[in-house]
Amino acid sequence: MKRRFLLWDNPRQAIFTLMVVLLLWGAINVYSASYVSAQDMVGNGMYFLKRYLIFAGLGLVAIRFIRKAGYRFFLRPLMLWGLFALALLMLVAVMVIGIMHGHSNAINGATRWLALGPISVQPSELAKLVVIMLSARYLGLGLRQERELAPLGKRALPVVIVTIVFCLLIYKQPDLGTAAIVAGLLLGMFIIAGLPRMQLFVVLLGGLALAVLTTISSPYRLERIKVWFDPWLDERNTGYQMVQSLRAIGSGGLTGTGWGHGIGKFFYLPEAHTDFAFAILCQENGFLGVLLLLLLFTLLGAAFIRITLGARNQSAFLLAAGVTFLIIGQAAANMAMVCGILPVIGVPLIFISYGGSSMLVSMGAIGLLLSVYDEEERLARIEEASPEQRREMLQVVGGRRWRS
Amino acid sequence: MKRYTLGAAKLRFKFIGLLLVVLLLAVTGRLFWLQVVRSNELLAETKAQLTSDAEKLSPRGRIVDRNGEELAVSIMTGSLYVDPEKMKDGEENGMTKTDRNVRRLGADLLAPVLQIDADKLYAIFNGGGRFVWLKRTLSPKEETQIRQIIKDNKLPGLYFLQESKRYYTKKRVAAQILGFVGTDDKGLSGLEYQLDEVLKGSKSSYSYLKDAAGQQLLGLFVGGEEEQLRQKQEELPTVSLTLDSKMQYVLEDAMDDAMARTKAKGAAAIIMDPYTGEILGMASRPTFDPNNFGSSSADAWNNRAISMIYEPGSVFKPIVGCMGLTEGIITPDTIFQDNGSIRIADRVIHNWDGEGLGPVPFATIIKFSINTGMVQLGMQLGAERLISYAKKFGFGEPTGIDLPGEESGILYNPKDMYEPDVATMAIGQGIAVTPLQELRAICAIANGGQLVRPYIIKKITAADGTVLQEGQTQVVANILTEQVARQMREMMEKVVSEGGGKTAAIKGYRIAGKTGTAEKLAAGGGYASGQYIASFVGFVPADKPRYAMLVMLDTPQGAFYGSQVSAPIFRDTLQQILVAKGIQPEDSKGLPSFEEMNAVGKVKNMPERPLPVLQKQADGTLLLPELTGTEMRTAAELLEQGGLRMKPYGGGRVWQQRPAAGTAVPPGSTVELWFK
Repeated sequence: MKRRFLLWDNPRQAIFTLMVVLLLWGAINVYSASYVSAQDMVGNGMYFLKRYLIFAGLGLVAIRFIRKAGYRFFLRPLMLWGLFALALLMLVAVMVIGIMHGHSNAINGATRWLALGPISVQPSELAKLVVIMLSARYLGLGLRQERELAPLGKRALPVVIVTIVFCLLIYKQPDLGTAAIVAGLLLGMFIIAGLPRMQLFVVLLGGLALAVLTTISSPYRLERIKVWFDPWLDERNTGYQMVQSLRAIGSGGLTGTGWGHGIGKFFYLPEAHTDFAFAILCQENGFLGVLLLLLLFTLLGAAFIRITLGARNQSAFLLAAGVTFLIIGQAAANMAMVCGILPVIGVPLIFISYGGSSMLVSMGAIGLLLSVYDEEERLARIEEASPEQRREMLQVVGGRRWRS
Repeated sequence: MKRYTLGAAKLRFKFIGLLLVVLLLAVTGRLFWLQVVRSNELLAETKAQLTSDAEKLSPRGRIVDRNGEELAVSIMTGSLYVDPEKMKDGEENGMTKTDRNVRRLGADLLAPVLQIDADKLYAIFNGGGRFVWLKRTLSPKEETQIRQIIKDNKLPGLYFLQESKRYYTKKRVAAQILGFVGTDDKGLSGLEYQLDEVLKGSKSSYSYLKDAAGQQLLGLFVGGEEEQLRQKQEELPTVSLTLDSKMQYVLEDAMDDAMARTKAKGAAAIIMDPYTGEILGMASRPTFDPNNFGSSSADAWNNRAISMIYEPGSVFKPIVGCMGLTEGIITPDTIFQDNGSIRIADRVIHNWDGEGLGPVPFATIIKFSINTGMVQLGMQLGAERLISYAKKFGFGEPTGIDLPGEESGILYNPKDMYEPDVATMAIGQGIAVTPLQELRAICAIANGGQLVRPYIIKKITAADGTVLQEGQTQVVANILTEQVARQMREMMEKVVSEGGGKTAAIKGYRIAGKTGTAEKLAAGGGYASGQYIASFVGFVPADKPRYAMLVMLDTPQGAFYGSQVSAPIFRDTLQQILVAKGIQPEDSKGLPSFEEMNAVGKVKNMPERPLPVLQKQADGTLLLPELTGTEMRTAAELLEQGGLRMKPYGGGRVWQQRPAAGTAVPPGSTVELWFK
């Protein structure tokens, strides 16, 4: 039952094609958005482009390695808890460093990076993937038994605790936006895995109440909300980044200024090559160019969803769904943030923004997703094959579940 | 469907997928709103924050000498200013927020370079406002240093504006002629003032693209307005003067030397081409360095060559002589009776030495500057003719030279003149002239009778080479016949070769000239006792003059006779110039070599034969020598060397002196001498 996926033979081919196109486009955008600040900071305009390309290469290697090992390998408890331990260790290290330096020499007033030799790692990116993987395994086990999902049950509770620990550590950095994303990812996983309606209602209501309470409790936060709706209210201060972002986007017009000609990057737009790279892309490519980008992301999302829906294993399904949220959800959130629909939270736009940890983690996640598809494809081939062939194949694959 | 199956989960996933699609659609809609509907508005805002309006000053036009040598040039240099509101870290400045105190840091770093107290700078940075000058027209070295400091420390809010800075390349040379420029590129004195409209750097507005930190961006633009980025710096006209900077330099040098030697209050000297009216050199003392005009007194800014009025004394006699010749009252051979003094009404006018030569021709009257003869001629001419001729010679009104601040001088109304006034005017008292008026009148004699307008601006050339204005020789009037002029030249030549102006003689050259020692007008009217103006005016070569020159010293200390102090300056200066300009001597006998010429400025008046000497005592007093038998001139010279004042009685050689020989006297005291 070979099904074509739009232009492509299968979603995997689609993902690879779209990924290459987005990587090339992203490389151009990162170079254009960063060479001024790179020249200013390190005296080499190619600095960020070079690192972008290195991480893209490492990402592709990671995809190949993960597909070869198979997603199941990574959902083993030892692997999962090992990754958890790594993320936790790094987050604690970041916090300790943050306390030691008293936030004085921090970038943007916060410590989110951990310097490891020549590269700096953002542990919160790994934390996101760890939450998805843990949910996939433990909520997937529950889903397989078609039992009601109890958030405080023996399967779900460790995942919830892990997430809360992560969120607190990230919140302390302080990076409220990323903490919210990690929590949001868990919530998404729970919703899909079947959080009872009543409990979902309570969680959503509780979240809303918390948001309203914190907002009205401090006039400063209220001000922030006002500025979110109309950044021009505080154009020179808290609204500055948003105003600059909107100006960069708007000045692009229908057709854009052309590659390299955007001016937002001349220190006007903070984070021009990272979180706000999308604004530079809008400025240089114009509305028509951005429509094409949105189309590419939509197609990528469609391929993700196709793979997710094709998964017959509960854990594989949850894993694929989580990866879809991570990649497409964050992409949509970033775009919405940059153009002022969502408040400013530190989410990068995969492929378009520069960010080594984010890119490596995201591509690793795509590797897991592709691995899910690989598995399904293998199963499909087995189903299509004659019983004799099937036997041989099964022996090769050696699926344990068929032995019982 | 059961809630906890894979199928149900997939349905929920689809629902969330739908939410993502909705979010993407919202993004699309929002982008349409921003990029299509509100695009123009946001583009305008972007451009507005991207462009800055600025004013650019072009450098002030150059002033060069007749050979194109630069006298005054301008270069564009940076002026540093601060926008105190921007002098802090923050995202709006393209800076990340930090804990450092930018203003304190900036003040401490910039203080040593700007040589402004760090606390004062800190106060300026904290003083608010959007534009405060820190230091204008920095030197290129200072500018580089400051730019480095700003770059290394990422100091926001400090900016440069290019401004024109004036340099006077030859420092004090021709200082009063050139004048000077204030900080706003405004000419305040001299030609800088006179030609301010021509020279002043033009201001042009332009806009440029800048990054968020305010630095100008080049080569990148929105909407193709590249031509706005940089406007070509407009070039301004060049003013060429008639001055010859070599002559000027010789002149300035000689004046410095004379000032040091005579301790005069002031001085002026002019070299002029008698035929064309071009000013080749002009110096005034006291002087100043226009690069640093603020540190000199305003008195030094006056160009005494055109603005000082004084009674010329004997240098006026050739002019009165020309009047007599033109009127046909006299010829060079007309005999005058010189009795040493002459009474006019209630006043007795003496010769300078009181000696009478008896019956002498007019040529001798001029040669020895005999007052009695001149007075007789003056009385024959009468007030009306004296004044009307003086006016013809250009006295009583400005010469019209293209310099600011010229004076007219003072002439009597002939109807108000009593007989003694007529008599004294014939010897150059009772008339006030400027040095330039006097020289121009003498030039009329030198050039064969034409009164020319002196000028100093040779031409004004636009940047593309077109001549905007050209100075031209302008003959105001023909005031003398060629014959009269020649006769007077011959008489004046005798002054230098045989008469009272021997000290101006240059071996091998024919020089015409006239000395003058005039009593100085006192500020409160009348004459100031003991204060003289010593001058010499002349031209060379006497028959076909190339250069006419006037030297005037105001109140020299010690020696005060024109022949003693001014004539040697004339001689030394022109000697150097003649050799440098390759003007061949007419008689090569005893001609000094070129090397000697160059050393001439240093060689002082050497005594020709042993003289009595004044001995300086340890306490500063002077031991008077035995003067009996000494000639009057020698005695006068000697006493003046010692700064002593001579009070002569009679004429001839000394036969009695007071105080007696061997007496120690303080400098400045008077020595009475009786001659017979």
